[in-house]
Amino acid sequence: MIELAVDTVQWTFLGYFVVLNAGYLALNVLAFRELSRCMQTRALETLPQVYSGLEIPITLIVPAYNEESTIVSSIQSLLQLNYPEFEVLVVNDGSSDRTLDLMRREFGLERVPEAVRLRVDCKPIRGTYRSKTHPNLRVIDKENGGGKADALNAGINGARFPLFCSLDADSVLQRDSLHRLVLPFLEDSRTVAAGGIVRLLNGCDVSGGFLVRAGLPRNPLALMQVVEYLRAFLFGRLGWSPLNAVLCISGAFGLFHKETVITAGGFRTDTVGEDMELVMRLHRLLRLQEKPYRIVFVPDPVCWTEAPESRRVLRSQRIRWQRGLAESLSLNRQLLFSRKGGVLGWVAFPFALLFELASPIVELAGYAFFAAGLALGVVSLESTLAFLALAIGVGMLLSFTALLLEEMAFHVYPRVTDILKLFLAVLLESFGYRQMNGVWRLIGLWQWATGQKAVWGEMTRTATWQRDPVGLRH
Amino acid sequence: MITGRTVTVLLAAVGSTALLLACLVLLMRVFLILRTRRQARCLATWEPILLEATQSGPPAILPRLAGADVMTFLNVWNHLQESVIGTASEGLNDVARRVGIPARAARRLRYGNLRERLTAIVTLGQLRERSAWAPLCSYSREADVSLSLAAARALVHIDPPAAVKHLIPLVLARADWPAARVATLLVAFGPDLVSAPLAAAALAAPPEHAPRLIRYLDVIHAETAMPAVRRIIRLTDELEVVTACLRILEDPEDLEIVRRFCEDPRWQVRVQAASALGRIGLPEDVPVLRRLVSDREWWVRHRAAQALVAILAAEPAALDQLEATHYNEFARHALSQARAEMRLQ
Repeated sequence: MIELAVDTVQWTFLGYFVVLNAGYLALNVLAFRELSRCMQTRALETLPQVYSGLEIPITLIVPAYNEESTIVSSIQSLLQLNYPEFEVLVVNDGSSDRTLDLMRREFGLERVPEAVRLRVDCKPIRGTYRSKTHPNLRVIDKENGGGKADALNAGINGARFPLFCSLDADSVLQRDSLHRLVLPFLEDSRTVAAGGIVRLLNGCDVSGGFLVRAGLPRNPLALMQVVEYLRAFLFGRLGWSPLNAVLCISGAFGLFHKETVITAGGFRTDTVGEDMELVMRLHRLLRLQEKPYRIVFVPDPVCWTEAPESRRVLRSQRIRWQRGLAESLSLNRQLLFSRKGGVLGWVAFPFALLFELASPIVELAGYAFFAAGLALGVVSLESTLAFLALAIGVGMLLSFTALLLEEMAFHVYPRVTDILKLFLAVLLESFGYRQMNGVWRLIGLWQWATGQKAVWGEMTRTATWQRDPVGLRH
Repeated sequence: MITGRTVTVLLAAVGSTALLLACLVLLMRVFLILRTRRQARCLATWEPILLEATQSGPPAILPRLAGADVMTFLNVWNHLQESVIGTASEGLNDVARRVGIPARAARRLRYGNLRERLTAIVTLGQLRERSAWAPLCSYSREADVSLSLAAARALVHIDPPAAVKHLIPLVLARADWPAARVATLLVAFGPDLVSAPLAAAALAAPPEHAPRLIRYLDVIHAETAMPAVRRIIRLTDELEVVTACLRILEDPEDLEIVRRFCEDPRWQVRVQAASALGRIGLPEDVPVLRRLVSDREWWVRHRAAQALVAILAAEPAALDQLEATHYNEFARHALSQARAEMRLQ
């Protein structure tokens, strides 16, 4: 009886990882096809662009809370983007530092009595500003509260253009990022949201607001996050895109159709995963209403952002992300096996539930089970090794496939030694980092399940990648 | 029951696959380095020649262009073609013909992968290669948007009048062609060539297609097509068509048409009417705009306020009075904002 129970449990663990890895492998295949096609059509995109005036204008919404160390350079780089018509709308979220003062000084902001339409709930707006030197720069100053989601909602209310791009204050874009990200909207009027790749700034050099040299971080935590991000974006999202089943567009770099988001109610302020929750909600509402739509991932346009380098900050981030995932799935559970759910409701959503949300529980339980079983002699060494091969070994393979996709399409990191470092990161990630992440994600799940109050935490920005920091003159 | 053999096979499979993937990545990097070096050598040879060709004509003797360098050559050649005009372009074409590009591009058009075909299409268009007309026409009807649009553009370069006849029906039929790219295509034709057929197509188009065509007329600044636009707006009451027409009316003689739409029950129409009054309105339109600036729709108020500020720009006292005395609070906000924006311009 005990033997039967142990056998069942161990086969369950093994079966779980077989299915998990098969799913990721399938995503790899889809991502490979999508990337191949994207690379082929890039042939024309390197030619000088001619704009006709019919390009859809975009509002870049930049929520800013205590960003004095980076806000000026961030805005300066955004203002230099190559796109025919766009505005930069900074939402000062009640900053207690010199964020607003620095912007006022550097950009000649003047207060303007703007009649902002409050179509989505947000905290009271204290004032609106325009730049005398840059006609396409506006600033909304609002009361603090509601987090980034509330700031984004204030930005949506103030946005002038039919598309808005949500950005982090420290996001570094490439000059043609907007031009590439808007393509799905131009090609298909059903497109309501598009996301691009987020890469890590740690170890890179930025000058004049733009990346001048891509490099790998020396910090081991950041290095392993490079591999994680490649996995997450290059096949994690790209694979789902052709199936119209992308469940998350990063808040650091996502382009949305404003009216659709307003109709859906804007960003929720009672969740820490507001970006993911919005995308799932868009899927849910549009599918239930049977409206044709597309939410896509575009591999080309890149946004660079800083990753945490300390365990404390990384822990806080990963707990928050797992909470955000749990909250988003829970709030949109109507999608699960919905009659109108399509691939999203019948494949992507259950996949996220079973293999993204539950994986820390299963993996850590698996370690515990096989370790205890081995010690007690009820589980064989062979079964334990098989479990480790599936849980860790195949996980490493998936990281290698992400590196392969990266090398095939982008080869961003120029040196051969960079590749070797990434190989090392793949190997080391699986012994310690992955398990540590699993524990944090489990904590996030526990906090969600027990209804604990969410805490955003502080992201300590080092901005060491910035060659010419501005805005902090004394 | 999991045996030792199974585990060994599994571990070996995982390990060898990981090793294989790692080797593949390194191999790709080696190929990339070799390819990059080759491209650099090719560019070092050909970039100066092509730049010289744009300025003083090509040199008498040209180096041989290896097959492996053709795509690199075409990338820089196409890039330069898009950046120069007139005799500079002829110099580039001369170089291309002398190294056999027409035949090489034609081969890639027929047998190449997507990237090669796209590059070949652009090249043949820049070369104005008549022999490629038939295959390019065929490509312009392809389902693939990138290929069909690139082919359309190439046809415009080769023979604009013939391309107009071929492409206008496609412009109407291909709702999947992004408007911004079609507009770029039509601008390349020039208003003289394309206004009349586009206007005729807009007149004959069903309501779901007409707004798109009317927007194209605006982009190509087709003043000669305005009579057609005026006729369309008189004949139809379709929302999208009316708003598209109002968006491009900017002649004072269109004032009567615009005024008729100021009281339209549809707010989208009132917005465009208010915008149009901002462009061509007269002081006698102020009473209408006074009403529109207190419209229940935000955008109507916003555009009406901007129109009032534009019309009364030379009468700040009148604007002061309007802003201070308007009975509607939202109207006062809209005016205040419009005036502040005008001051910042």
